[in-house]
Amino acid sequence: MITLNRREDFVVASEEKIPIFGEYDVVVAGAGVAGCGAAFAAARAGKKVLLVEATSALGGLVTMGLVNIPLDFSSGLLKEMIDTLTAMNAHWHRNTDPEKNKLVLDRMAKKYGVEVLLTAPLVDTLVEDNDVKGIVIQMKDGRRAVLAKRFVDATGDSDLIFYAGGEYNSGRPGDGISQGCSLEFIMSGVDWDKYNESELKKNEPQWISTIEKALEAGDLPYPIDNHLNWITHIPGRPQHCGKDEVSICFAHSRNCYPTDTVDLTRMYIEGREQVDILVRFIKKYIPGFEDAWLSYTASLLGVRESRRIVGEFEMTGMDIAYGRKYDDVIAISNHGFDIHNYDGPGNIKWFKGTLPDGREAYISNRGGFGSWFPPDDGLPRVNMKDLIGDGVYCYDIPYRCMLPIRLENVVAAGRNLSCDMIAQSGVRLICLCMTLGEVAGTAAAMSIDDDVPYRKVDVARLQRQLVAQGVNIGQEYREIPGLR
Amino acid sequence: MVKYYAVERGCTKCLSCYYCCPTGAIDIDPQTGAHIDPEKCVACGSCVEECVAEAIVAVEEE
Repeated sequence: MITLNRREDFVVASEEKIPIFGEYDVVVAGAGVAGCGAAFAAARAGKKVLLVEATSALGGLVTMGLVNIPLDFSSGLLKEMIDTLTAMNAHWHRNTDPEKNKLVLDRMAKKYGVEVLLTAPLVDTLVEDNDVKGIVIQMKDGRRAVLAKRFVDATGDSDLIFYAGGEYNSGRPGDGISQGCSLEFIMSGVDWDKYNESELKKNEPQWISTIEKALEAGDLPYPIDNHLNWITHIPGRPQHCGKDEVSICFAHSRNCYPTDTVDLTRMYIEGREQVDILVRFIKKYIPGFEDAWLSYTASLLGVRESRRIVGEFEMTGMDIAYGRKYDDVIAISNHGFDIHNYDGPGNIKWFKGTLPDGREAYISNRGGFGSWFPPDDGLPRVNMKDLIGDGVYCYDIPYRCMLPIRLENVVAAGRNLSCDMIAQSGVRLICLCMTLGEVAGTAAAMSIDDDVPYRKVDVARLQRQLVAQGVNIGQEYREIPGLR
Repeated sequence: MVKYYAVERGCTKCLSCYYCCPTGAIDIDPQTGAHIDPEKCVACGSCVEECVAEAIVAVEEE
């Protein structure tokens, strides 16, 4: 209880005594796949680890957000999770059964000896002279302090670093709007074979002209999107019997401020209304879905971008366009640009970059420009294929992108890396996030063992340790100096 | 007996097949999507495993 003491727009709370819940080697804030990777890695290295999570399950957007695991390199702890799910008939085509995924993560946490607190949101940090010393969490019966030697900010929104007064960027320059957020949903009772063999799927797998027809007929009030973003068949559930379940990404909110709870509320309510409209559209127009129904909307909104830390190095779109390599590589990705339009329908798989001869150009992914094209202003349009060499395409994630400036004892793991918005669209994907978590947890343990801050960890030693753990940092595609 | 695989059923250009093909038989056209070169395809089926859109079909021996 706080005695009300109001001063105009503020309520003044007098000095508070917050009981200490515990002291740990490593505290990981956020238990999406990045936080899980970090906690499992640090615990496996023998450290006493607490993993705190605001929702009721591990896995974040994969389990609570119903997001399909998109495509990228799979190694280390991520591969262990996927292989475990495959053995349970809960993974195929990079999509997992979210329920079994929750179980697998719970069991991995137990296996590695991670202490977990669910339904315990992070509400503040404890800082002394730019050193993060603890966090404050909300438990059912009040706030609690947790002290530790090292921290991993795997909240996605950089909440820990935000509360510690760290530097960050969020959204695009100017109005700060983030890229579109999506509320995933699951439909059941789908005759998947009928859909899979339909002329519609064969000719326009992204339903583009069907959407246009529905707009004209008034069955869609506005272009929620101008194409079907993503549809995957959930593994392990009934199939080939007209009762299949599919996971669909099609409902999008635009003009988003995902670190504003008022706007988050708007997006959840809007998302559910959009899903209601889309389900009726899908049942009416898409073969195989006539008798299907909506089973669930995600309980966690698919936020793609929010606060990105200001770190020792900032990745940019050029790193992705050219598949750049760095000596302090700790993870690799090949996903490419993936931006959902900030203020309109469609997706953007390009950016304005520079060609080797110095000219400006619109540079696209290998798969093309997406469904929202660059302006027709005379600048050349170049496919990344023409810029990168032969060999396996990938871009390096430098260790420096995980290190916030000024703050000690904390690293960022996940979509909140230090990068511009363009690069962020290529480093936010789930596979890479889990690997970044593994890197963070490994670095946390190493920094404790070597008694150095995160930014002084011997990167070559970290790289050797990651490779020993089975993480792919691109060592098979080129010579990495630290591994010589 | 599968002779080779072909992308027939709605490619969404996710590039999964492109990355997993052991013989480099797959090329991506930004407009039309993935294409498997029947000459280079060894029918290992990796692409079928990876294809999120389930767009790849087997072309059998006559």
